[in-house]
Amino acid sequence: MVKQHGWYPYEFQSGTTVAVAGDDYVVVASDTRLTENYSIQSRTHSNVYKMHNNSLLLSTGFLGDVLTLKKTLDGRIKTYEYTHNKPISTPALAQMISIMMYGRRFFPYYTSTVITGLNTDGKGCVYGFDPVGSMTEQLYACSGSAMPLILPILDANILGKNTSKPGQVKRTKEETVKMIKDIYMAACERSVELGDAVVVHTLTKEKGIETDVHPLRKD
Amino acid sequence: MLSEFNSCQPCLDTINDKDAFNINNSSNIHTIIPLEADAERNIRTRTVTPIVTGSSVVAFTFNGGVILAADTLGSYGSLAKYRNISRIHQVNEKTVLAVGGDLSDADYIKEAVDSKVEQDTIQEDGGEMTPLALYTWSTRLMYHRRTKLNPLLTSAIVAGMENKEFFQGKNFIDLFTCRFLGRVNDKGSGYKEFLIITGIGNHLAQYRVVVITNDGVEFKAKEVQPDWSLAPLLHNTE
Repeated sequence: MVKQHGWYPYEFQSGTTVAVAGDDYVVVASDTRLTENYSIQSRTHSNVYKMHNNSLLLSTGFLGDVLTLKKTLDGRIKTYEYTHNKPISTPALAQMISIMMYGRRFFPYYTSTVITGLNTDGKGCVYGFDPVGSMTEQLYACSGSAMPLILPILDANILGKNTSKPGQVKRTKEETVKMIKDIYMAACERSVELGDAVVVHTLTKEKGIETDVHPLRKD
Repeated sequence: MLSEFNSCQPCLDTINDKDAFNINNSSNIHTIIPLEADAERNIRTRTVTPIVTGSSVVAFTFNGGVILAADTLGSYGSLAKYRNISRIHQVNEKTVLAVGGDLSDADYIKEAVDSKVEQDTIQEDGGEMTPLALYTWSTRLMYHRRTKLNPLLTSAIVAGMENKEFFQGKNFIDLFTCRFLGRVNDKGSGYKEFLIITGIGNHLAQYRVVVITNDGVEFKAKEVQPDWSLAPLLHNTE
């Protein structure tokens, strides 16, 4: 006697995020389309969340879990600041996220999260997580609905993987931003869940977070 | 101490159907109820299908504020049972709550919100719940219930005028301050947008409404011509 699920506690919102770490900067980008099945709910919903310690959280998947994770993290970051009298560093925050997400191992936060920021040496760092908190420090990360379209391009452009010219290509902040915008423009032609606009944030020590909005196709 | 409507606790019925010896319920306060019995009881008493439902809610922001519309039908499956139900509820001078979906869960949410407004009123310090506060609280409530696998099967649409000080360059696209419109669904996913349509209207009406509001056009009631040609095709509207 097998019963079908009448109501399922998860749902999947669209959203694609990209993060690239540089020597003294981090560039993160997110599209701004929010869909529910094949309807568009919002054209101005960004998946990048600014945390109080000046790092950027990218989170896609189930929006309820994304919002809850962000809220819980906000509280814990503040507690850390009050207890230790200094803002939490991005590597420490990454460890905290990993432990928090594994705490819900048997009813996971259904999100692909990435935390980005500048570490204590001022170098850009990107940490990627799976839905149960498996953490890896990466040079670049891509998560969300259009990840299969974008990740191979990042592999080829940043590390020269699987191309005739292997080897890392060093880029400046401005070149990275341009590359990411081009990648989003290409990917949105082939994905229904990607479009409307791409928000690109650049995080540096001197200027903090600079934001740029680039419009994309609305169909 | 004033007893407050505690909306995060489940309202369990008083019949202990696991109790084979029919012991009087008052003895439960002296016994420890094992976890399995509680979970099993929840499986029997939670609702996962809506019973009496309300249909679409349409809401959008315009030059002067926010406008909401909802029909007054409560459907019992395909029977148009309750024909005069108001699904738009005024919370306080600045906030309005509209609900779509299961109407008993909608009443639960309204009761919980009214209880919060009451707590605010009796403080008598002029503090009022703003739309953003209600929206955030509703998101937490819906998410909490979905985590207990006992969802509130409604969408809550929160609309109103926010305090001016709050919108200091926060939202990068919406340049018009103060107007607030947000939606929370039954799983705790919430978003804010200038146009929100829930229910079947989302698939039918959206393009027509967006044409009017996309540029933040000034709302003039005399010039809007409603198109009723779709009305005979829709089952859940009055």
